[in-house]
Amino acid sequence: MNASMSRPVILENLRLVAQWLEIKHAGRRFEIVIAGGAALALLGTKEGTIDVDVVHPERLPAEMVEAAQVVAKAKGLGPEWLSSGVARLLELVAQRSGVPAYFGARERRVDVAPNLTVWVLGRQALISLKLLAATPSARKHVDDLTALRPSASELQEGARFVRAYDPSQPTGEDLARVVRELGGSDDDSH
Amino acid sequence: MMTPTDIEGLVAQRLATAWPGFGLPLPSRPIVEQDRGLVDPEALIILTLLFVRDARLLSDVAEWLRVNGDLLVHQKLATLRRGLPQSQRDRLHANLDAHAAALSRSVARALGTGSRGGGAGLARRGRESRFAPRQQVAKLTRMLGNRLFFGAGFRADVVSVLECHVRPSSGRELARLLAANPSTVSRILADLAACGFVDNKGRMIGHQPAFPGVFISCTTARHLGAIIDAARATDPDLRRAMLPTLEPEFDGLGAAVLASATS
Repeated sequence: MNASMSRPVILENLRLVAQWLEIKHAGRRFEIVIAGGAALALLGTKEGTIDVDVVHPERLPAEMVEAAQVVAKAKGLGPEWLSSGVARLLELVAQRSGVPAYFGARERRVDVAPNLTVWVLGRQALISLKLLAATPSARKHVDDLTALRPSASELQEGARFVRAYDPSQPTGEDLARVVRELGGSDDDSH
Repeated sequence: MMTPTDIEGLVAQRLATAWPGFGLPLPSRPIVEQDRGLVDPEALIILTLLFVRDARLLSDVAEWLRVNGDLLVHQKLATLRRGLPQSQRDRLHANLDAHAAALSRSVARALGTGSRGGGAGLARRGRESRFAPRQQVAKLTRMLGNRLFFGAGFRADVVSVLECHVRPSSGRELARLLAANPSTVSRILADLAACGFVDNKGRMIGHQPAFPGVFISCTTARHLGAIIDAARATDPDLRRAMLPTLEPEFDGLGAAVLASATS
């Protein structure tokens, strides 16, 4: 049920979502911003992912939730394959430490269908979110970061985001190890 | 799978065969409810307004609504209309617009037409004289027969469904089948049990079921739209996933259309 989706499969599944929306809600247009593994797959820096993380809108419209459920049934995907979990995380970030302005940037526009536009979140925000999720044991996120090849300044900005959200010592230690593994210095993680 | 247009044509044909049982002077033979199942009047009306393109039949139906408005459960008509997706509601109104003047005000209100109705269908009065008399309709269409006996309301419809071999497994399911409020159905079932008409399991006492189930029901109205929508999908997996799960005993028409559309 949770098979990895390659870039073409992600696009095909999103096209099916668009097709369902067109059939059931003709004339309406939808737009989402995605992050995480699916975003990296669409940018060509990752082979595949099991889900598509939506960061905007904060709550997927009911129509899209229903469309995703039908496509999950059609293609044997997990029930959360199109998920706004990261959007909810960003709500927490907004409440706790504020969301940096660069989260408004978009890296790429993908016209999935005339009624569905998908934006890939900006590169810095992708790196920051990946750093937030990464721990030395969560290899998936570290590997994703490695593939993104962040610069020292991008790592520094991402580390600032993580530390602002969670200034605890264990997180700081994990962050420092991840940053070192990515070729950064201890200074980059502060 | 058949195209959406072909399925709509098939649905329109099948719906037309249900109207002689309501007294319309059409060449097809009436549906025999003892063989096929009951026909819910409001479901038939809504489906006809959605799928039938034959202007003469639509005109006759509008006239039938004017003449027989007292036999309708207006709340059910309104519930069914409200449950339609916006695109289908628009279509229903477009179909009605040409005939809305013939409707009574209460029927026009239940169908949500812009027209105020008023029963001004004078030009059609000649047609009305060719409608079968109510005593004949009462024999052909059980729900209308029971409404003549019990009054036009959910009580008559509940009794009609209880006369079927297969009944919904719960009051809530029965309410869904009839587009009724569950508390209304629960109260009716309690009344029928209190007067000894049914036992505590909702089975009629002293009556043999006469109908196999429901051929055209309020769930048919929901399912046919879903079948036609599924036919619009180009991806076969998406199409399959969009097809509704049907219960043939409560939606004989939907099951028949689905079988034809996918064969």
